Amino acid sequence: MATVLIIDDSSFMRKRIGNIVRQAGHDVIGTARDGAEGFDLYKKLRPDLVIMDVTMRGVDGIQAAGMIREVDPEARILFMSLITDPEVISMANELGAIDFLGKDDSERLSHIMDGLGKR
Amino acid sequence: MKDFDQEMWQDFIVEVEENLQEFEPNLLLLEQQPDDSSILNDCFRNMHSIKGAANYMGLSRIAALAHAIENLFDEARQGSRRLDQQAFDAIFRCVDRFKELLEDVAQNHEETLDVEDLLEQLKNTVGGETALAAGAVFEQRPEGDPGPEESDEDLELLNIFAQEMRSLYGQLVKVIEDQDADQGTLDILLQDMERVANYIGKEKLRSAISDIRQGLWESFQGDGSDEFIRAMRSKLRDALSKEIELDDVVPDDYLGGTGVEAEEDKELYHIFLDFFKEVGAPLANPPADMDEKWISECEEAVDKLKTSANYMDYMDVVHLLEEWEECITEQLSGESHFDREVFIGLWERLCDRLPHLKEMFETPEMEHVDGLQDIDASGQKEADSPFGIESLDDFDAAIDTIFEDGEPVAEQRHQDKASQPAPIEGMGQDGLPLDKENDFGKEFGKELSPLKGFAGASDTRGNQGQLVRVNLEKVENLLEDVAELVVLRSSMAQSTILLKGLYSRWRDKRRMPVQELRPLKNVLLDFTESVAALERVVHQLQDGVMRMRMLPVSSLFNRYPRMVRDLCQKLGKEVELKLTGMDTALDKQVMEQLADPLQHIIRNAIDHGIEPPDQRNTKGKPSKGQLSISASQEGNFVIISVSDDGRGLDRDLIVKKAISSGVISPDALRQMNEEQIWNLVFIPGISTAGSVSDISGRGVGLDVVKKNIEKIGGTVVVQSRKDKGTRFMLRIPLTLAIIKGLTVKVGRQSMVVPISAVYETFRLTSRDVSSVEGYEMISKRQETLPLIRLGRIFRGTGAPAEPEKFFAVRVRLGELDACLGVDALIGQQEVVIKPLSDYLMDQPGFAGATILGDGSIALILDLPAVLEKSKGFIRKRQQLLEQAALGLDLSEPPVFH
Repeated sequence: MATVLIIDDSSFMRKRIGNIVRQAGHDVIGTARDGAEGFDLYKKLRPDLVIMDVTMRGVDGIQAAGMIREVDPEARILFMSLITDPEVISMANELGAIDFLGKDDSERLSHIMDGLGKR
Repeated sequence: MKDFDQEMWQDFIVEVEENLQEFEPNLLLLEQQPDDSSILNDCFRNMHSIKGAANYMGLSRIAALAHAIENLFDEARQGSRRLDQQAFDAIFRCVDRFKELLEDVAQNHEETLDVEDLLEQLKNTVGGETALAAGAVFEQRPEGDPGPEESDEDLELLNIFAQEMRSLYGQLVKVIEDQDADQGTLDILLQDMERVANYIGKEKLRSAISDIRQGLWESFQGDGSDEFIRAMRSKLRDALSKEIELDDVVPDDYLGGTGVEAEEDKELYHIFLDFFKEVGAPLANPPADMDEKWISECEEAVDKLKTSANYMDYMDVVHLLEEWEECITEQLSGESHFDREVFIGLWERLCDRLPHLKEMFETPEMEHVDGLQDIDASGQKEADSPFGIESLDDFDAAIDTIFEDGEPVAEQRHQDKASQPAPIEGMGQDGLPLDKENDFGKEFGKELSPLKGFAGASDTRGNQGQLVRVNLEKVENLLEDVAELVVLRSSMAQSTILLKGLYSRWRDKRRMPVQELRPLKNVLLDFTESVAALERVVHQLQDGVMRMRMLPVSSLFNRYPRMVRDLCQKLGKEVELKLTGMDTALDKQVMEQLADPLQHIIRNAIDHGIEPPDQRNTKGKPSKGQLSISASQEGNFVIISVSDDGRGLDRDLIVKKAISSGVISPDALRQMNEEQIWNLVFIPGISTAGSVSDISGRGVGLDVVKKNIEKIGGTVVVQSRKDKGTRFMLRIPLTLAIIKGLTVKVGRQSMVVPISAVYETFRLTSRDVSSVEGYEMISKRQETLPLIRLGRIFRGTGAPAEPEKFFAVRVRLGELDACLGVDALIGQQEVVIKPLSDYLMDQPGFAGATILGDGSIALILDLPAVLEKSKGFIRKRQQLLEQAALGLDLSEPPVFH
């Protein structure tokens, strides 16, 4: 079982993603609604995986990922966003994101979650 | 994607609602400051979130719409385009459509409303073809799409006037049928109808009514008024049906009867329709070729329907069905060649008779049948002519339809729903009640609120954040329990006092040795303490429950920015809206009652108060008008003020109107100060400005505003200065459920006078009372006040007719100032109002009842009604006063109670 932190500004998406994570037998140990809050929680909780949106108020997903990687170069970050801009996606990849999923791609998410072990 | 559970749908709806609630005010801001990138980003994010959630739920239309808007914002963010007026208009329309779609999704878990038109509009705003597209945009707007001028916000107001119009017509018909129609009564009613029509901007209707009124005058000077009245009535009906045709709305009902038992008929009609829906499907869809199975299905259906129609006494329907039978028999016997057209023709005729059928069975394929669309349109028109507007209920329906044309949510949903193929198999528990609700919902839109537009619903859901949604009824029940608890506590306090007395008696009489009394004393002390503690807790509980019913006024005010924007657009004005005191809490029920009057005032302010920009410039004012709405709490009241910096009220017109209408004598007018003159606009004769002129348009229906505010125990005053502006001040009680009252005795009966109106109390003897022209008066500090003895107004209290000594409670309510004569004053306390049963409300004078601490019942006085009873003589007193005080300066400071 892995511990997961969900960062998304939409309560709806937090809940949905959380359900998928829990169904795969993992533990949602925290949720945050923007990058800054997510970064703070990351430092406190040190989850095995971060599932994160890109478009958020204030500190967005890409910035937050950078900040997280800075304090923990090993951090595993998974983006879920509707953004299709290749530039954004390549930025995410440069930051070492393990994947970049569409928001409605819950199948792939559950697949990834199933294969996710403890770090 | 149907496997989502209810919770997920709920989450989705909440998510989108929350985003929209954030989005709409942001959009308004953005319209003012299109270059503010942080607002732009916020707007972008809202649409992005909606898109994400909609995608997840597989709701492609919401997602597409959100996506298109998101793109607009994105381009604006990149600086590659500027959002112009047209873009904002389109986006605002999208917001409305989102709300409709959401309602749709909440009910059906799928999107039935189309968004293509809006996508088109959004697309047209992109790029340089804006000018070209501008015309097209409006044409493309589908029927029933809410233009900005008829958005949800208008509906409540429209409903008020619909009701008013209906009740006026009802009175008119009653007057006519009771044969006691005289010119005056009819004229007043017609005048009122004219005013209503005028207010809602149905110019044609207004002028039609005006013509009828004109004719009324001529007829009464001539002869044959009976005949004329009949003609007038039908003219009036025609005027309305014309209005319906203009608006392309089909009257809602086919009523067999002539309106004697119309209510029942309506019900029967719907039962019949439901039955038709159940069995009649084969009739609607004749196959292209001869089909044995279909024929036998038809035969069965026709047979069943004929029996039912016979029962309902719809003879014309029966005849039609008999024709069907013949055709079917011919088919079966092989006498004639199968001709689909024949059956379609029969179906059309049936639809003409029963207009609802069309919607009920219309299938998508049918729309493609050649020529059917034409028939469809004309069929609907024909459908209303055979039955005309025969009865009062037809008229009701017609009025409803007129007003509902501003309510496309229900309308369109209804049609969309109906246009699905009739779900015969799946029509069990799910389909039927829903459809039924829609049918009735459309008719009785006012009673059935679920369809009443989205605005209201979203308001109550507003600002939810971390909140729990509780049914208001539950809170109400809780409140009632608390009230019971208050009564119990009082009786326990009473027992404590008795116990104490008992203890002291025993001790004093030394019935028992002191040691043996000690445990008793301890119990008594404990008990006293507990009761005191209980009192505290009960008080807190009561307070807490009351607070549960309270909402911040922002839930009401939040709709105004949009309304103001739309009005400004429509009227070509520039207005800056300032809202303050948004977190002032107010009882939910009070808030609901306040919505219409406030809206009325705001509309007036923009329509008539604030001048068009060029006029403002000539006057040296900034072209942008200021409208500020503020709320603040003051004791048990909330003060709401609406002020504008427009042209102000027209004093001369008010004075002229006041004199010509004879409401106020010129003498009296001369003695009035400014304040009093402004407040004349609330008097019906003056505010109901008829057709000729209105007080710079201001006066229209302001008496209605006043009436509604007073209904909830509030007051309204207006201040104005020429070219400086106008300010309306509303003083509204925090809650309707609990009031502070002065308990008094009238004979055996306890009564409660709302403390807010009590000015002073004093003792009287019979010598203080003098009688002037049959009215009782008392003199108090050189003032003459009318005396209303409650024991005489309300009989059966056992109050002495001519008591030697009694008390007066002086009450002030608006301009009315009078003393209530009572037998004793009991005390001041908070009381929980319990409504009286309907049959008791017939007799005006009481607003409700309450249970006092000793368990007895007290009636709560409805002061406006009580004072109304003696209004004549209060006015009389004022006249006398004026005569007496001619030449004296009487201008007292105005009192806002």
